[in-house]
Amino acid sequence: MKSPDDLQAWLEPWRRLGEGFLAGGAPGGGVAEANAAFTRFAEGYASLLRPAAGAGAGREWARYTAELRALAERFVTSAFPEWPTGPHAGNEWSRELANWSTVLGGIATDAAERFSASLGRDPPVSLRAAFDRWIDAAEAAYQAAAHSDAFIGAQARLVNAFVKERARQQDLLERGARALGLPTRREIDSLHDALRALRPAPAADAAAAPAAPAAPRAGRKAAPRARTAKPRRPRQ
Amino acid sequence: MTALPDPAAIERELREFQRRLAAGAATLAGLPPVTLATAPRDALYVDGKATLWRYRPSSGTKAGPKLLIVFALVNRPTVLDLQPDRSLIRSLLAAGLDVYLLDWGYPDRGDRHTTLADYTLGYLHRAVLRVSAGEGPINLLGVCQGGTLSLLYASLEPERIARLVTMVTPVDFQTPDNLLSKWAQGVDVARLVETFGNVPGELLNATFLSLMPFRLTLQKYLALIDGADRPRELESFLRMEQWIFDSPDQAGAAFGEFIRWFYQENRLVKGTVSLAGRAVDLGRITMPVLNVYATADHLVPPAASRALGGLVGSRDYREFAFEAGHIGIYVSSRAAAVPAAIAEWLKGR
Repeated sequence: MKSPDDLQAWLEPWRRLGEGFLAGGAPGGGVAEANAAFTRFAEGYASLLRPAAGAGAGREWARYTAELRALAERFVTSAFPEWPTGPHAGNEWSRELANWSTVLGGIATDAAERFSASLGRDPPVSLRAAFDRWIDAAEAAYQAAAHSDAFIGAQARLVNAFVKERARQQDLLERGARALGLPTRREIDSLHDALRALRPAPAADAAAAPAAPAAPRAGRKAAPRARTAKPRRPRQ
Repeated sequence: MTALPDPAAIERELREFQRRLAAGAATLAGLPPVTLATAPRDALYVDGKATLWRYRPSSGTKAGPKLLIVFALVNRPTVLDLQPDRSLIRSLLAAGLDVYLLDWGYPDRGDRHTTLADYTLGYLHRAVLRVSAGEGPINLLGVCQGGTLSLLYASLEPERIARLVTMVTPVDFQTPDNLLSKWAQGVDVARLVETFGNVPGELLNATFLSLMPFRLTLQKYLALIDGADRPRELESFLRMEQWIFDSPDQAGAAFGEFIRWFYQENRLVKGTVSLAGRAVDLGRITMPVLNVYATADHLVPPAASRALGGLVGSRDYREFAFEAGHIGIYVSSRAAAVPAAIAEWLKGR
């Protein structure tokens, strides 16, 4: 791909194919289009992997990352309506979301490389096999990254930034509620805490219980000991 | 360029896919709403949001040894009785056990300050007393996080537990393959709990799905098409989906303690857990112990469960390995082997 527009051109056949499915008719113009879509799909990936792609590829990836970020924001906004997004979100949250998108972009690159290599080694015999191959490649790339310090750190900072931002918004709302003489979340939590304090403490529950008759003991083992029990296989 | 499949084969595949999709839609439209947890049972008592259930014995069987099941806080115990032919509870009943279940219910904001001590030395303790009914120690089966709570309880009240079964139970929370644990390390859980109050079940669900996002959010649903025109398969799938997304919110204080004490500080292994001022010592667990784990568990890796063997004081410690994942151990087509092994072990002691 030489320009950002190529990305759209690359995706277009697949979009039409999907629309064909949704319309319930022949898939996107039939076998010729399916063939063309598959070809462009594979070529697109291959072009992303060319090391000589230079600055053009960099711009493409910047755009791809931005799209990924927008997609992530749309996803989290629909899943968690209270998730802070947009121009009013805090700087720290915005920064961490950008960092997180970069990490995801790295995973996408690795997945594309793995997928491409897999296609080269052993061409899939069906679209479904190609899809499963893509899942395998993407999951392998994700798992490789998910255990890394970079991923773990970026994710933890993202979560912490989100929570800080949400706390900031809650604080603003609480101030507003107090100004209007309305009960606040903190006051209700405080009430719950007071009610809980009226209940007997759990330790007292246990201490007050009647003594149980003696249980059969297996005996206390000598410590330390080597475990000899071997796992048993389930009966088939 | 990569060799392409035969174009005619692609067309056939797409048409077959479309046919299955249409058949699946028709099958779905004709299915009744799915129901879970249908084994006959009676509520012995309600304790706040929690309910203690006693299951009615299978016809022709006499109630045998008492077994109290303690499930995790993070999901619903309905997976233990997903459908009549895939039900750990029904299998235990059929094996002649007198089965009880402590159902934690759905915490709300009033439970925000509920602690692990409340759950363990309060709710669980009262359930144990009720099941025992003064007749002596009972058998305890702790599942997943419920197994961890059961270990805490059994170490503090060992005289009340005759035999302890733990199932896919995390003990060592920091084994190298525990992705969830790695992710938890840098999270400011105190601020999370302070901000959210209770932690939303949806948040936990999204976290679990993100452990294997491509398989669990894409591939699984495409694979559904394979059995979309077979009503029983579709019903089973819907039951699982209903269970997976039926996620209670987590009482804030208990959630904070669980993440900090176990995932971040690995206190169970270090022997530094204290509940309501009472030190937890797994060495006090001297009753017979059966530790059931799944060999392909991505949530509780086998090593996380098997660490128990080196920590309990019991000389009668056994393991049962089942070749499945964290959920397959309850619902796979081979899963009947698990309750059979539990019943055999309980009756043999």
